[in-house]
Amino acid sequence: MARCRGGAGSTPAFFGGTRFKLDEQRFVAPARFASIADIEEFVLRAARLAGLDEEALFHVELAVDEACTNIVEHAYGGEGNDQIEVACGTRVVEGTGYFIVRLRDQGKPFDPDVILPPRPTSNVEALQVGGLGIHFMRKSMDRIEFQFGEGGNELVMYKRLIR
Amino acid sequence: MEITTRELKDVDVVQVAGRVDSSTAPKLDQVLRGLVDNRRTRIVLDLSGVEYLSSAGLRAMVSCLREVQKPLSGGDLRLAAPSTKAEEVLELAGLDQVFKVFADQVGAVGSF
Repeated sequence: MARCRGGAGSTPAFFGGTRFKLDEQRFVAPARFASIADIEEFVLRAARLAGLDEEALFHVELAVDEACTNIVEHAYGGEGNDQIEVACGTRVVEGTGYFIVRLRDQGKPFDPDVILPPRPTSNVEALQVGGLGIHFMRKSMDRIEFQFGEGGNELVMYKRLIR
Repeated sequence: MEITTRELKDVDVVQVAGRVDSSTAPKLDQVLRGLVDNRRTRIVLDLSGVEYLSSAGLRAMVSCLREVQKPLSGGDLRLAAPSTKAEEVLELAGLDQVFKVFADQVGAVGSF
């Protein structure tokens, strides 16, 4: 992987930039909007088994939905014959348990650091609607990390198991 | 996602139920655009039955808001009774400060 970026700030990757193995379950789906419901069902089933509560499940659902939508719309430039690979599982890091979702695609990379959170405004013309997806991911998960390289794009999102 | 629309004098009430995500948001966008194209620019969007709302749904709503608030349109898109999840997503996006939000449909319709 060529680059490694944290989602909630500019700190290094949570696992020191190294790839890691989950006690994972894997799922591969066509990169189509209609497949996102299947991906969410797969992830939420694993998240329930991991013990996440209803509020955390909603946050995971939102983050996964936004991430997959971005992959279809931006990484692949629309629906086609490409794929999204999903893996999820749990891991304890420095004494804290996390539910982890990893999404991989072979689409175009991008720089997440240039996507800023929406600025508060009541002016409809000044509203920034693009980039909301990443903002939602950052706000609803405890940590997100992007990696881009020759092997494709990878997004890893973490949700604490115990709130 | 289910969408029902009805006219109350010069206000159109659009009631949405179910999931509003990247698969279904185009349908919401189509319904809202259809109203604007017919010069129906006083719109109440009832979100009480929304089980899930993503940024794709918000884009359709903001797109409509921009159209109805154009000077020659003289309208508005007002929200009624957002479900807890819809409310959370609106707040997350900061759009609760942009849309006029009412506790119920009657209040939203009566505000025009």
